[in-house]
Amino acid sequence: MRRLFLVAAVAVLLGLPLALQGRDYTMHLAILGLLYISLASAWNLVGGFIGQISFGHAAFFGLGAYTTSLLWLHWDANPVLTMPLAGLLAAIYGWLWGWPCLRLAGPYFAIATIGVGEATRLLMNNLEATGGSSGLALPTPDAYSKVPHYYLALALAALAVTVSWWIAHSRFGLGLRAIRDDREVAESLGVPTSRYQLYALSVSSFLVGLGGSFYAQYVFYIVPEKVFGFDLSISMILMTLIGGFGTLLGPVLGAVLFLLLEQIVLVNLPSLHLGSFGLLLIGIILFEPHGFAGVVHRIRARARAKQT
Amino acid sequence: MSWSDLATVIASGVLLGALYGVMSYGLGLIYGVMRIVNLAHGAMLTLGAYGTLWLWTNYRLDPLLSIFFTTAGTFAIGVVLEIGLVRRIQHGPAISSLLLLFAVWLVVKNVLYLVFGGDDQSILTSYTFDRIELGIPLSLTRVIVFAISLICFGLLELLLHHTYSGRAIRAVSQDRQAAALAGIDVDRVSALTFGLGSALAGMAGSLMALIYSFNPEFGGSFLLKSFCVVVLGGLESTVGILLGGLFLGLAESLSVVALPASFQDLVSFVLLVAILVLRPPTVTSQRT
Repeated sequence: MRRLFLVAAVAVLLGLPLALQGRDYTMHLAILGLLYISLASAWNLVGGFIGQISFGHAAFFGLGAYTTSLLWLHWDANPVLTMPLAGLLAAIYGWLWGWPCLRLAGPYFAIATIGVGEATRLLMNNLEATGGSSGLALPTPDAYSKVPHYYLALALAALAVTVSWWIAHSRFGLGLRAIRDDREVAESLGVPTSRYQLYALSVSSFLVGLGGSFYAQYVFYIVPEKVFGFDLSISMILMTLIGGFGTLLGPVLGAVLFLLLEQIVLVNLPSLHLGSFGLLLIGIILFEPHGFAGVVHRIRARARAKQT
Repeated sequence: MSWSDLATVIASGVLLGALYGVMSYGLGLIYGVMRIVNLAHGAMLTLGAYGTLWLWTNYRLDPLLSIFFTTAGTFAIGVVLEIGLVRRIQHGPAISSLLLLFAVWLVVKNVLYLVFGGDDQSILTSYTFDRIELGIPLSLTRVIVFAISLICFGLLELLLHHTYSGRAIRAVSQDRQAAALAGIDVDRVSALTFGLGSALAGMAGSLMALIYSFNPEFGGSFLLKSFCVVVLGGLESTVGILLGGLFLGLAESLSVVALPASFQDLVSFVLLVAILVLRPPTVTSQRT
């Protein structure tokens, strides 16, 4: 049953561009949704699995976007081929500040990530060598189809979800969850807590870096306020929270719901954009802290109870 | 750079530093008593600034007088927030309160955008551009803000050490359980602390409206600066926070000598991360 569902989902996702021929806006939403799924799943590796809330993940996204854009502009590199490098640089950046910051517990880690994220944004905004606050415009091709971008985004989302699945079912993932529940106990049981956290952050930042690289190739124009923006980091948190922290399905559901909400709000009530997300956040925390995945889980449990 | 320039830079750092102290105090107070990082701190700062603007444009109330109203207003908002929201997730993980208060910040920002728009606002009084000669020329508003900040510190010191409520606040921050056993109404102290912390932020926001221009995003960078001061100065003492504020004020104004002005905010962010990393605060993650 489960496998059948998975096969059907893959078939639908692979065939979607055929069904959406000529409907550019829907195609754009599909691509954005897949990108969001990869970002939320990546964020969840740190925020959900270890429970260390990062407010600074936009730094990785921006770094990925800038790596690809600069290589593309100055060396005429094929943007798709620059993606591994973009991810790698983001991962190194994650490693560099993760190494000292991950020792901090709970709120202090969150605060430090706000500092890192904002410092990175400010730096990029003022760095003349990378275009400063006006950003970078990339060469737009004459003929332009969204289909290749769709499959690239699909690959990204699949990669992020697969990696999450693999981690969740590995000894490594077990260790991460032990750290989330109680770091000291995990340490005393022989879980290499610092190393594991650092691995998780590096993988997470690698995936977000790939996402940033993809974003630059897809929209052809990047500015620090957007790709390094605080709003982007918040979006990743929101998506995961809406879906459910620390689960596999959560970020996927959350990303899709977030995208739909974002479109509805931006189209109908653009001036209430921030506030509606704030109220949503308050509602979720007060009434359904396990997010949408929690609701699904409860319904399933109830159905099972009825069967027996 | 001449000696008099240097003196001006140092003086402006010190003047700013006292304000930074007041601005950060509420954050430290709330963390001390409730073990909660108040991410709505920036919202209270911004509300203080906009409250002052509103009173000024509608009633021509002098910003220095409006401090009383904004402080009272943000105190009330803080108490309501604590009773209405924060208390309900008291026993949840630290993440919940962090995100909840962050959400409050989003809502407040949105309300301000709706009411006042996103443009930069500033309050120009008859004395905004006046200077005062104290050996070196200083901006009058900054000297006033400095004086009010110091008075505020004096009042806080009195409140915390010489009144029942203040002593209760300190007792709860030392040991919540023991305080409860000694007959202190811990819930009431929490509400009072949240109100007081918010009021201090609101008051600092009012003072900032005198010397800065501001928009709804204004609280963000000051939230980080407040963290920086709290981590620098420690949570325990009034004097520590004042010194932390002075240190950050000086560091920022001296940074202008070496760095372009647009990098000034970077000083506090880098300082914040550096202190957190070099002197990791001893966090008792689950204090029951």
